[in-house]
Amino acid sequence: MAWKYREVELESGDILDPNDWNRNVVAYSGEINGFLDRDNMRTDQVRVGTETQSDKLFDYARNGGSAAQSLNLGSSGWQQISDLEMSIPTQSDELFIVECGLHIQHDHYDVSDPASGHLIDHLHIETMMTIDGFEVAYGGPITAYYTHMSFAMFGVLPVSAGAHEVRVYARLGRETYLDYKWTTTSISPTTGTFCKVLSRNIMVLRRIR
Amino acid sequence: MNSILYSIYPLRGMDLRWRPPAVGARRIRDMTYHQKDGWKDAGGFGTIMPSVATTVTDDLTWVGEEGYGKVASGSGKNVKAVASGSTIHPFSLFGEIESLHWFSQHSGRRQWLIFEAERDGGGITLWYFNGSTAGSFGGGFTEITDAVGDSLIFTSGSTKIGRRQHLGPRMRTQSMAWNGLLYLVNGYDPPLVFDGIKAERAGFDSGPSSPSGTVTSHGRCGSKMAKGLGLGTSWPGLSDVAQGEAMQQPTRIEFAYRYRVSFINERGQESPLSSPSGLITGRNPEPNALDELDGTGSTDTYNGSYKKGRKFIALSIPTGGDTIVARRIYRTRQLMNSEGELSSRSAAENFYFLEEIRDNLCTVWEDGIPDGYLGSLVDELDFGSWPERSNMIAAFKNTVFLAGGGSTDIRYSAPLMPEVYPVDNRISLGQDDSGEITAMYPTKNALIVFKRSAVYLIKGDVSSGFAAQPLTKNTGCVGPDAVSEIPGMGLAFLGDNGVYLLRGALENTGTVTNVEHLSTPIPDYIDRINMSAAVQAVAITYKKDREFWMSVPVDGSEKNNFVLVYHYDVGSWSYREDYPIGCAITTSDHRGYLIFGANVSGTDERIGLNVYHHGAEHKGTSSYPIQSMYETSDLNFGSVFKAVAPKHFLLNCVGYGDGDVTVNYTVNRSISQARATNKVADQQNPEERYAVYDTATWGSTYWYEHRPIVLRFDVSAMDKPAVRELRVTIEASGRRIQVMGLDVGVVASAPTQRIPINEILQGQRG
Repeated sequence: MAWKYREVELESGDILDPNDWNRNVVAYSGEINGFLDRDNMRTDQVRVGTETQSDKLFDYARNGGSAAQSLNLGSSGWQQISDLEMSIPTQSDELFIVECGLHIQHDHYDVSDPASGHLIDHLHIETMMTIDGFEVAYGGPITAYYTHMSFAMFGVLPVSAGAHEVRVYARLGRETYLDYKWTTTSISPTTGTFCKVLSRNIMVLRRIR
Repeated sequence: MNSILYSIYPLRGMDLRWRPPAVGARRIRDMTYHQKDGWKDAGGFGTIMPSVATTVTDDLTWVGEEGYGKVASGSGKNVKAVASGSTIHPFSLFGEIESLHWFSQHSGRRQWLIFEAERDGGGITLWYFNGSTAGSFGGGFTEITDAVGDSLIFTSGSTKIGRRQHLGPRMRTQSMAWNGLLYLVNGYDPPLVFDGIKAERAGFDSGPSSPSGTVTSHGRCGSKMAKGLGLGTSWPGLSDVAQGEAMQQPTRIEFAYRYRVSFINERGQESPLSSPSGLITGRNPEPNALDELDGTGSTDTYNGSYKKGRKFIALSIPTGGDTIVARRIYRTRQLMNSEGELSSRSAAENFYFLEEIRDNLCTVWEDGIPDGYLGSLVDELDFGSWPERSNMIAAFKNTVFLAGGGSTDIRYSAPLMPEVYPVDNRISLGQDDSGEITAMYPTKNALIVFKRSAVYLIKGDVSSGFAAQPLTKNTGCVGPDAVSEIPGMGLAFLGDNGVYLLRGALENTGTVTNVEHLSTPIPDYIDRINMSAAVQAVAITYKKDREFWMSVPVDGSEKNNFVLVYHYDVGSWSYREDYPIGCAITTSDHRGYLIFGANVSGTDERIGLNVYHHGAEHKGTSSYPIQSMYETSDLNFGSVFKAVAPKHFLLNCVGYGDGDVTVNYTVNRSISQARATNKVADQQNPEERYAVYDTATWGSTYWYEHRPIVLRFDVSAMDKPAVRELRVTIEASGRRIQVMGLDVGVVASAPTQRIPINEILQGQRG
């Protein structure tokens, strides 16, 4: 029984000895500082609430497209992949498990000499997947040895109740080997050179509390 | 003529002998010995939780089990008046506290204060203090229930039957903490064990009923419980017989077994074994005809319903009560020999562990386990039911000891099995007529067993066994609660002739084991004890003040109403009155509180559970104030002088403030004191007075500290006969006082030469 009782009875006419005063205070503070237990907590200090259980444990959302989307060869920044953006509202804390697949096609001519027929081995492609702006997956960089390339990304992020945005991006770059290291530079597009995103899809598996 | 100052320092305890060897006290009331070598005011007590404020505005209120409220006229409710605006005592519906117990779980992190009482006439049952619900009517305590949440009180219509309580002086319920459990025994009701959630019966009063069985093929009986490959030996199959050979009958196609069952409760304790089942015999199936294989290579087919294989025994096993969680099955080995006859009678009495059914549900279990998979041999003497009518319990060397019920035998449990009592585990103390066993107390190397007029030591351990040896047959203990240990000294207990101290009782400690009479200085108080009611005396050691309390009934009372206090730091006695201690405990945590259950009921404000502490302003109610008094023994000046004339007293005390100290004195053991009114002085240094509460001002007055002061009281005995003996009485008119010494100033006449006669006659011996 974790209760404490007064140590000193102070009465009118008693001398003002602080030790008497402190003994009563210490009896209280000593318990506050480490010896509280259920006897010190009144039942009305703990309110028992209710939490509604979700009617399901998981859900999913999907999106995708097949219409070709040309990437801007002149841009060195991240370019959003169309048809893969999703806005998902949640009622409670959830876990988003996102999977994405991309099919990218490009021509293989050298950007500086398209007529040479040489492989554009200095061109590389990166991809990224974000949830609410947080990068949850990254793909690449893959150098353009093949005309058709595929990317698969997988990412997980716990989210709170609210609206959430899922996006997929791609970025192009050209690497130049100078001074015994690779440096990424922007591509100088020439006529006829292209880089396209063909079929693409994304699925978000939602694990609900 | 100059006065002579005689110093009485230090002040010691009561000594009522006519001529005490040392200057002590005649009476010390409501005082405690302070470690700074002074006698200060003792604490008081109050109920452990605050009273409940009422909202009633009328004077007629019903206070019952369902709460309180205004009662309508003619309602028939049992009315208990509560004045408007008053408070209700938290134990207002409780009767006398029957017993009190304290134990903890999880290494002291969860503590339980358990008491036994009746509430609102609903039968005596067990409750525990629940601080989280205190402050509201009916809160502060929770009734202990059984495994299914039902009250322990048996209800039949409007009749409620609780735990047994005998009116008058009686032994109270005893308890023992063991491994986070609390065992409770009172000798009448079934023993209980409380685990913090529920209370249920401890141990077993008997074994289960014997099992029975029938022989069956596996799966026929409908039970889902089957184990093993089958019993006995089976006939071989066709593929096992060479072509042209005849099918030979194998040995032991017949089998016979006996079974026994025991119960396991949720604490892992095993009941006594059931009686053996009858002999269950069976015969494994054989072909309808013994065919031979012909030489053609083809195989014959047998006629009939031959089924190769072994049979099982479908055993019907009993289920237990709510506390049973498993059953254990024991079985003999195969009792049939190769001739199909019973091998021996002795084999039919040897049972081996077979299986543990980890539920209390299934009633049929199929046995097909061969003998090679049997466990160890079991001895039914290793089990036993809880001894009936045991009302004392103690733990010693991993073993639980039970006593009481009118028997002089001590029964002890199997090691580490507090609810299993093998039949042969007993120690008989009936070889004398020293009365019944009255108390048990475990110490380091001995379990001390008290009878009314004897003390025994049970020594030994689990491996070497236990044995009793008598220590003394001259004194014993009056009751199970009248024993308590004094740190550094030994075990103190109340005997028929006073308080005794058992020193030693230990092996190889260098302390001689003996029994001392501790209450020699206070014979008058011992004579007042009502020994016929002393069975309920309560001894408790209050370590915070380093005191040993002995609460006893005095002056013919049937209930404890007086407390003798032994201050073991200085070996001094004092007393306290108006403490209705029916039962008491001290909490074994850092708080170390002394909590007692009151032996009063009804409208007495001291009902229920009370806690002793120095912050209490009185003893439960203002009707019983704390009245601290130190009265010296009769100072025998006549042993030195023909007569003296007291002139003044110099009292060495602590300056507590404006509260008064009063002094009076008695001459020559007169029945009345010398002064009609006491001499009074406040506890302040007259040369430098300190500020006090109620007059001090924040921001301008200083804090001070307590300090020793000397108070002078001028006295006179001119109107009295020649003073040969002088007794001084010092009291506090308020709450606080602490005295360290007394100087008595006297003017003495001519000294008297007093020579001990031994010094004269010694030389005249031949």
